[in-house]
Amino acid sequence: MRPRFAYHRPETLAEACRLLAREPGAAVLAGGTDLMVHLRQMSRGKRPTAVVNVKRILGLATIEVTDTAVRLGALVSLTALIEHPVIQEEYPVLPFTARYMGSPGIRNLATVGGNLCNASPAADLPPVLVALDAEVGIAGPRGERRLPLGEFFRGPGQSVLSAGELLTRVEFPRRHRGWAIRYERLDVRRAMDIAIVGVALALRVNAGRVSEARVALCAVAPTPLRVRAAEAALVEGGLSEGAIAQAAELAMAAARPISDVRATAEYRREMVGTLVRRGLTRILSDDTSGVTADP
Amino acid sequence: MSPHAAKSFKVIGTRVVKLDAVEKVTGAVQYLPDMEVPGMVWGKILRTPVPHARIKRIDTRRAEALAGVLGIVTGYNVEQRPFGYAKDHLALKRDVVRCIRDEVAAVAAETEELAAEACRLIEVEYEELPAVFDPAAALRPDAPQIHAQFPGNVVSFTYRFNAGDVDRAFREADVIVEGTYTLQYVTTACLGTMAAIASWDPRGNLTMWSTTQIPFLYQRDLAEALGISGDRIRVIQPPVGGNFGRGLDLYPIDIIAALLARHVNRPVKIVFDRDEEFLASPTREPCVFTLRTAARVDGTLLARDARVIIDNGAYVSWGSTTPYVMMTTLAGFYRCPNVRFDTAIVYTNNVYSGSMRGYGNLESTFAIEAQMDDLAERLGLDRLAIRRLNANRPGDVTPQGLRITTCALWECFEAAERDIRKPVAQPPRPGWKRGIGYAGMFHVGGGARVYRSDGCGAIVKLDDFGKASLITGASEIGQGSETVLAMIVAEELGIPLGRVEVVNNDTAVKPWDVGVHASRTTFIAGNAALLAARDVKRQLLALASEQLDEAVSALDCEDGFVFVREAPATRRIAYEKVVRAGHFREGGQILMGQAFYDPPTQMLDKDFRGNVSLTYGFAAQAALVEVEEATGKIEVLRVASAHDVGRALNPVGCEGQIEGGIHMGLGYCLTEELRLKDGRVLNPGFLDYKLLTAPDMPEILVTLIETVDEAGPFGAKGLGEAGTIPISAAVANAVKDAVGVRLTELPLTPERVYRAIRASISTAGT
Amino acid sequence: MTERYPLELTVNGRRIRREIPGSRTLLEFLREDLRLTGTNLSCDTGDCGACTVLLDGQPYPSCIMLALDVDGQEVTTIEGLAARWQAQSGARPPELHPVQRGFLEEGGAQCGFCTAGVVMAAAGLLEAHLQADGAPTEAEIRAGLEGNLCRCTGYTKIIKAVEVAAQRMRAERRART
Repeated sequence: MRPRFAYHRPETLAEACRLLAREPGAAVLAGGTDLMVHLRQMSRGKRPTAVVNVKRILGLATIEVTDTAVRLGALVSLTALIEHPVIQEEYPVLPFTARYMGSPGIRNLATVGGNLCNASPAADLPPVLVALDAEVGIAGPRGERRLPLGEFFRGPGQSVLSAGELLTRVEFPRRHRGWAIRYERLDVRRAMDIAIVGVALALRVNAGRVSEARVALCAVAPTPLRVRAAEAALVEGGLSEGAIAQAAELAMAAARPISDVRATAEYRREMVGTLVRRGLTRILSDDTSGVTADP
Repeated sequence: MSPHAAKSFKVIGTRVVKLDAVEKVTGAVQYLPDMEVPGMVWGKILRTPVPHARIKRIDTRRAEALAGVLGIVTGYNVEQRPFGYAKDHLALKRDVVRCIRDEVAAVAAETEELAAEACRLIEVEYEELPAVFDPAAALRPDAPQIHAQFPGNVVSFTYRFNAGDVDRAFREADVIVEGTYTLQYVTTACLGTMAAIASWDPRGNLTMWSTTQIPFLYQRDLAEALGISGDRIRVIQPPVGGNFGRGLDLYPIDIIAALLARHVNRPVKIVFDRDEEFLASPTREPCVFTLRTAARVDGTLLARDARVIIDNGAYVSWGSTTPYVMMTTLAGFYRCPNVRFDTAIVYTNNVYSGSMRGYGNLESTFAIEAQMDDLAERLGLDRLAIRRLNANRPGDVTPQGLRITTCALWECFEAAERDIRKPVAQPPRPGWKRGIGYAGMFHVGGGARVYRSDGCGAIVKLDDFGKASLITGASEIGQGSETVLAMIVAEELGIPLGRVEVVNNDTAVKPWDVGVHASRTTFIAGNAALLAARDVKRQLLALASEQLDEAVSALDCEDGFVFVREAPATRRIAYEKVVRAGHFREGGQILMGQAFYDPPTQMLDKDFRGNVSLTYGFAAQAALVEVEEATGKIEVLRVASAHDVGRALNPVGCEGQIEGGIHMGLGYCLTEELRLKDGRVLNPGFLDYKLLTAPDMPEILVTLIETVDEAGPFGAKGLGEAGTIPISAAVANAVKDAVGVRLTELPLTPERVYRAIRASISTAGT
Repeated sequence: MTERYPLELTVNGRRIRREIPGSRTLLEFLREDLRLTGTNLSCDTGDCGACTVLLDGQPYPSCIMLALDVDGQEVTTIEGLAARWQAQSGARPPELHPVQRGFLEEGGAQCGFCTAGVVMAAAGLLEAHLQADGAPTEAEIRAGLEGNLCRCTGYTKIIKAVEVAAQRMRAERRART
């Protein structure tokens, strides 16, 4: 049933942090595509005492591209992410991934920050951003702090944000010229589905040799999972058949999937292997299908 | 009822705009949730949190004290009678709750929110009872008993049919194939949820606004449940956001709205939330279908032997009458002389199923068509050739006594094959294998004598503006019945479609009809409308003949004019003038025709024999799929769907029903499942109850074949369910063609397909 | 919980000023406060698209938005779509939006419950494509409507209706400019 709640609309970051520090039971409202649904499903005991709408705070909705970094404000909508020309040109994996999420209407509303803070184990953006070595910026009562994105997630639905803190941005270094970056996803429908398994791959490749690798998974662990062993195998063995097989095995071994209404743990684990193999094989054959910005 | 074979039609067969389309595209249409009745308050239902329990205590005091609450009803403070097909159901439960839907109390309050708040304040103490959620377990002697008056948890309906000598046929067969098919819970998932408004007047008469599709039976059943006479109930059907069989019974929401309204003496509106809709609106019947088919070496079918176990759930609703149709298909689809059919219908503490588009035919067809392919494979025959050999033909009489009149089943297969084999633009992707599968269907197309009456009444009134009003018993549930009935009247009367209006939503006004089901509306209501239009046309010509001073035989009518055949341009009168002249005089008259059409068919007798429909519809579908072996994902690239429709009165409507039916059937096949665990629904939302989205849908190529059945209005046969029925079988056969595995459990999720492929690889290796 | 906040916005070309509770959704506000019942409530969780409205010309799921969040913006609902088209194109009332017209001609609506949401999503999609003087491909139309569930039509005639509308809108715009 539709919930009723106390409602705040801070105009500044400082005001928002003060409100959140004072009311640890308050929920942050950005796009609302997760919160508004959770509010309908939560039992009374768990319901937030208040909702803090942060959309009036200036400066959180910009995409900033410098020579060395790409900075996404926490309130950047998924649509804005998809339509940004530099992102389309240099990081087409981001629009590609964002297009899996929800629907055009949802994407107009949903924000990058909201997706990260909702901390769903199946969220698609986190593994891709982890593969891009992203960091998050957090504002709080004691000032600002930065954190590698991989350390931002504590568990299903839980980030490391403490009372009074607000995610302000996520950024990654603009250093991926010559990299092959892909997101492989398993789902059932072409739209409106949550990933059964997601695999993000980012490789610095040259003539079959891999000098740097990132392998990150979603939907197979309580938080996005980086598989450093698989990365090492690729750096060592390149994109050889053996190294690809080994990376897939290592990723499967690292995964800790559960069985739920969408799939069993066994199937998820096997599909990690399938998606890793498929993604690496496509990188090997320079197959860029499915990583362009257009549908 | 003779067909107009050579004549060209003015309205029939043309592409027209649906009568209510303008309201729908502009947002002007008022669905039941949009409606407000003066003095109306909101109702909310409190349901049990546990599937099987004794109700120890209900305390509503805190809830009643909430400001804005007008009153609360429970099984203990209102008078109600058992309802439902087996009269095993009370709207508000007393003593025991038997499934997770069960309604324990209902609150009337000033706002929806307050009513929900009050529900949370009602204290109910339950003593949980051991429960059973599986039919096999429920049949065991030590199983918990769901209803004391039905020991052994067996629903007493027997559907036992025997024709010929099945055992001998199996002994003499050259080949036997067998299989067990497991079909899941799915639900209609209409975009508009179930709703009701109940309003009593000071004299004790009740008006219901309802999402029902059987207003007259509803009127009767509701009266019985409330303990009042049927003449006190008026049922109004506002435009509805889908039905597909959901509205085929009386449900607790209807009775509860009426009880609550009577209790608080205010009109009460209840609208299901989405999760409530998934929980509490009727499902398709989950079943396990075991079939054996025997054939000769040349592929001729000799015998079928089927047994179906149906999970009835906690109360009997229409889902457990679907064996009527399962049996009809088993005994009638393709020529098969020896047939045995039996069912076990079992009470469990699961949610109960109702009727859903296709009504048992999907399951039966799934099993039969899987085995047609299996037989072809075993015998080294072409899959289409074996179907052609056994296809039904005009003049056939099935073992139950169903009389096939027009039948273009084989032509449907030919058309489907032709379309599925058209070139495909893109080649198969690496890692994906392609396959084609076929399946046909046979379903009632000329009404269905499920009740003693299969009739529909119609009245056609012609007014002094030359406009015709069709007052029909048939209901519009979004499928386009209004439009096609208006087309029939327009064609028969020779007036433009825009001059016909349809009145069909009020039992106080419209004549009796048994209801919208079994794809009967175009045929039955269409014939009624045609007869009523002919009646009014006779009156029109009689009156015009007086005014033109010519014999009726010298007159024709067309384009809104009655004219003398020999002098059409000079000696004619517009209809409106005829009508006006008819009543602006001494001893005047109005022009109104009427008819009640009830076809000369039979109910099935105690041996399940009888010709239940005046004609039958046939179809064939072909599916082109791609399967990714590494993940088990299936993509349907193209569906070819060919239908023997008799006559396509409203081609846009025919195509729309077929395309929508394919969507529903593909969902059943690939992605939809209402998941129950220990009697609880795990996925009561659109996120995890997966309807196919626009990008998921394949290319659909539709062929309409016109056999022009002389029993139907202008030759038409029923079509509403046909698109849904064979598609799952076609896709499963296509998957077999693509990757060599025979899947027998729906839905064909990627995981299921993947496991089957892995299993077949490992057995192939041994 | 009963504190009210001022809300000022434009709905279907009309300036509206109200005071509403913070928790009121845009859909509730439209349906109940303004009695614009053309936009339907179907799932209330953003999963079906029936509640889609245009905000400054782009589609949004109104059931999961707070009404206060559209303060200062321009909302168009199904009831206001034709007038929006008339203002943009110079067409005279009662001419409908090309998407609405396409639906009539191609049979895009059966029960009609999803129709308002689909029409708005399609109108938003076409408006965006028109900016680039384009018309979307079939795949792009399907993707544009991927958030709108329909149980009646199988989407076939909906897609056709939008294709027809796209051609018409592009031709109309070229003729005008």
